[in-house]
Amino acid sequence: MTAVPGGRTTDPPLEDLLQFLYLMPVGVVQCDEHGHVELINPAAARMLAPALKTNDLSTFHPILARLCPDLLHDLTTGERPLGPISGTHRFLATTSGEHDLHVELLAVRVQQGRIMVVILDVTLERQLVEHERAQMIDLNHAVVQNLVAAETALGLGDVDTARRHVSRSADAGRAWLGRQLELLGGGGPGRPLDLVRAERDDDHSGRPDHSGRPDHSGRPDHSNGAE
Amino acid sequence: MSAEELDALAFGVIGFDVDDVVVRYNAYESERAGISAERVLGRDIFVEVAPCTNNFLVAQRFLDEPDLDEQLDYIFTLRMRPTPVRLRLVARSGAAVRFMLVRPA
Repeated sequence: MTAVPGGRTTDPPLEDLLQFLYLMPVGVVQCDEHGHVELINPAAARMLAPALKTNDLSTFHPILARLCPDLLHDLTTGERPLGPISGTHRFLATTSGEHDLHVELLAVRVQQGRIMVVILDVTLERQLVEHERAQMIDLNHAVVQNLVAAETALGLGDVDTARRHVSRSADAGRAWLGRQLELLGGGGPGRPLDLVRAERDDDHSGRPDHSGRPDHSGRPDHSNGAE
Repeated sequence: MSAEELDALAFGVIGFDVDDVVVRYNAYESERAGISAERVLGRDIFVEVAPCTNNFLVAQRFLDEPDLDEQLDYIFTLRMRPTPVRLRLVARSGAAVRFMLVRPA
């Protein structure tokens, strides 16, 4: 037992357990069928506190009613079998200037009358998806613009210019593919992919800038198949 | 303020330095959280001690505002129970220690 200033004593194994739950980066909430919160860890509070209208996290249903009504409906209606309840739900939990917080919720009925809710912060993953979507739009724009220019040049009988535009269009596609392969870990030196090698060796002046690619270190793991 | 004086206070005190490392932790907060001071001192407040405050409502305030004296209602998870608290965030530009003061709401 460890003496705690103030006279109370604590049990080290219980402190270990508390610290384990405190440090867990995934939010976990245990509530009853009526949404009364029985246990909650700090990660869950970190994500949910900014979404509260009042300083009250004693019940979970009002939060769900506002942010994820579909899950609330599935929780409170119909039969109540054990196991996951209606899969995962993603939503914007809070928005405050630059501080948007996107979360994913999974509710599991672990016993009759006992619901465990797992809460994940998917903000970074969401940002990555948006970044990749923007890159796809840029790629589409580059390809279409060059093909239209090639078509115009062909119409004017300028085959060399048309060829150059078609080549730039292909370069844009290769550059994008190269970035995707790098993100997947296949983009290092010596990778045996002809397309990527062609992109690396290619030195055309119309080549798109690679500086906008995301930092690998901050990339979320997609191995769980999410989004 | 001495450690004894800090422990005599009827509200929680968490003091942390400019690197967010906890340097003061009084008995009131220790008892309510169920975690001894030895386990808290030297730890990062926003990552290891009070991770529930690692968001724009609290942690970001200390980052953005070198001079800060603000009170807000918040939810702690003392012993894994949702616990409404009244927080006072105190920081002074150039001071070595910043404080989070905690009272039951």
